[in-house]
Amino acid sequence: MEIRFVLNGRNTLVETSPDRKVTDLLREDLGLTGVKEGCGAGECGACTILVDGESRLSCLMLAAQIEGRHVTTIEGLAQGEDLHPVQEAFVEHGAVQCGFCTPGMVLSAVHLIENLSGPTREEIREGLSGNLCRCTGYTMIVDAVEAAAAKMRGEGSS
Amino acid sequence: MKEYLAVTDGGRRINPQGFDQQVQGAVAQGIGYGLMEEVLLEKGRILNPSFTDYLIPTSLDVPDIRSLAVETVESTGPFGMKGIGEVGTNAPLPAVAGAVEDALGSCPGVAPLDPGRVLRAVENREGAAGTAAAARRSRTHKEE
Repeated sequence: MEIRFVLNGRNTLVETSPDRKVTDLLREDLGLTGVKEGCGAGECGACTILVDGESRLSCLMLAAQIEGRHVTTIEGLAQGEDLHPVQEAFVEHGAVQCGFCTPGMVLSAVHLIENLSGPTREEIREGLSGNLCRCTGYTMIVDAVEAAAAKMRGEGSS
Repeated sequence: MKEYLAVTDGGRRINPQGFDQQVQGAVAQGIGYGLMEEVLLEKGRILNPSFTDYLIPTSLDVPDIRSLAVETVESTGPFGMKGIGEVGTNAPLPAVAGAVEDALGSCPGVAPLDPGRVLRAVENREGAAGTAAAARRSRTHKEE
C-alpha cells in the first residue's frame, strides 16, 4: 500500500503494509532513529511524535493512520543549525542525561506549550506525565519547559 | 510528596550541574523504590514485567527536588571527589518511613510503602473506634 504524508515538512511517499508499526516505519524504513522505542506498549512515551501538531505514541499507530497527515519527529524540530527554543532550554537547564526519553519529552513539551498558555509547573508536570524518565527526576525538565514557554511568549531571556 | 530537600556530601564538586543532575535523578529513583516499585515474583517468574504493573515515578510522582552540596574534600579521592551517582537513592525511603512513624506511631517494615500498605497501617492503628469515626465523617461529608 502506498502511504503519502508530510514528514518533517517534506512530502513523503512510502510503499509499506498498512499495519506496519509507525515506530518501525520511521526508524527502520526512513532512517529517523531519533524516534525511540522504550516499551513498545504505549506506557513510556519515548516513541512520541507529533501528528498534525498533536503528540501521539508512534508505537501504537499503524502506517495507514498517517496517510495524509503532517508528522513531526525530533529531527524535524530544529531549523537547520538553529535549535527549537525547547531544545535550547533542555540543553541549558541540564534536562538531558542519557537522552533516551528526550525526543519524546521535547515533542510532548512542544505540544503542551503550543496548546496551553502559561503553563504552570504543575501543568507542565501533568502534560509530561506520559513521558517516563529514569535519569533526571524531572525537576530540570520542568525548569527547561517553563523557561522555553516564557521565551516563546516573548518574555526576555531564558 | 510536596517537596524534597537533598543535602549530599560527594566530596569536592567539579561540575555543579552534573552533581545536581545525579542527585535529583537518584532521589527520584529512591522515591520509586520507597513508594512504588515492587518486583512480584512467583517461583522465579516475574509477574509484573511491564510498565503497566511495575510503576516507576512519573513527573507527577516526584516534587521539585532541591539539591544542596556539602563540599568536603576526600583526600583519597581523585581531585578530592567521592562519588555521586547513586547515593541519592538511599534517603527517600527512610525519610518517608520516618514520616509514617511520626504520624502513626509505627511504620510497616516493608518497602515499598505503597498506598495500600499505608492505608492498612492507618486502619490497624485506628481500630474499631477509628472506623466508626471515619463512617461518621463520611456521612457528614455526603450531607454537605
